[in-house]
Formats: sequence, structure tokens, C-alpha cells
Amino acid sequence: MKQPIRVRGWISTANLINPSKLFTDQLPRYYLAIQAEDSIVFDELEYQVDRRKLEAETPYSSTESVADEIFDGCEVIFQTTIEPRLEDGLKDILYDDELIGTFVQVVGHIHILKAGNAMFSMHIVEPAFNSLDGFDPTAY
Amino acid sequence: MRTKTGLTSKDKNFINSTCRSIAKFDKHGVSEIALRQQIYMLGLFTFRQFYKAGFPSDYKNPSLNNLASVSR
Repeated sequence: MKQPIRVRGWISTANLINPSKLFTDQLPRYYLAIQAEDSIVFDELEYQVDRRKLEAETPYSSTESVADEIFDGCEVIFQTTIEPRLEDGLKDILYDDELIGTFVQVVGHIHILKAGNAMFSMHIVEPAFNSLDGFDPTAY
Repeated sequence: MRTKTGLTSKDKNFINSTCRSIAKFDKHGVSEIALRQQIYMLGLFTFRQFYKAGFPSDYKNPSLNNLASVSR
């Protein structure tokens, strides 16, 4: 069974209220980019992706490498065609831009696509609190 | 020859991306403590990557002293 992933961070780009749709007959594409609370999450996610790739590997796996769609610079990327559940105060948001800078927890899964590359889906986006356990670098 | 210190182009890309992201949060009115945390984490990442030390398991402990050998 696929283990869910949980990532906490600040939303930098969101297409959750108005998902992008290139053509009218196309499925909506919900997109979320977050700056992770702690950069160590990149190592942890990469480790989990590599493990999932090994599990998914078949003798017929493609030998050509296709880039993963999981990080973009400092951001962790989540994408899905199924509307994610927004919890608590996030339900009342009317515009995607209102979400920018919001501290959230995203629950999703790692998907290994047919081409062998990975992506993260999201199922729940909920408000999170107490970033870095309230750590204030200027406090003494 | 492989250098023992310095930032790679991947590191620089990450730092540039983080700066843009933090400025975006600032513009959208993120709290002051969140800004301080993000800038601290950016500094920590830059410092540790410069010494090829990786990100520490405890972000409150930025020291390089627990590494076996560090070129300074």
C-alpha cells in the first residue's frame, strides 16, 4: 500500500480555486507549490521517491530518463486532476492569490508515471501552525 | 579537480528561487516571524552547502564541528 506523504510549508503558487484548463474538454489541473518549512524534507522526499522507483521497476521499464516533476527550485510541487480537499479556513478562500504565504500541511502520494518519472499528488490541504516549533532566530 | 568548498549551480538556483519566494511572501503580508524563519533557513542552507555539509538534522544546530573534516 502506498504510504501518504505529508509536507509542511508556505504556499508560493496555487491553482486550487481556479485550476488551470488548457481546453474546455480537458480535466482541470490543480497545482500547488510550497516552500518547505525545513529543507531536509528534500532529502527525505528524494529518498522515498527513489525507493518507490525501485519498487515500481519492471524488466520493461524505460531506459530513457524523464525528469521528475516534484521540485522546482526551492518549491515542492503537487499536482492532481481530482479536486483536493481544503480544510478549515482554507474552505472560505475565494481567490488563489489569497493562499500565498499561508502555512499549510499537504497530504499526498508519490506517483511513478509510465515514463519512469515521479510526481506528487495532493488530497488534503489544511492550515498548519507553529512553523519550526515557533523558533525565532532573533530571540535570546 | 573537485573543489572542497563553494556553491554549485544547483545550490545557486535553489538560493535564487528561495529569495524570490521569500520576497513574494513578504509582498503578500506573511508574518514577521515567518520571514525571519525563512531567511534563517536560507542562510543555514547556504552556509552548510558552501562546506558540502548537507542540511543538519537539527536546524537549530548549524555548526560544522560534527563533520569529520572540513576545508576552511
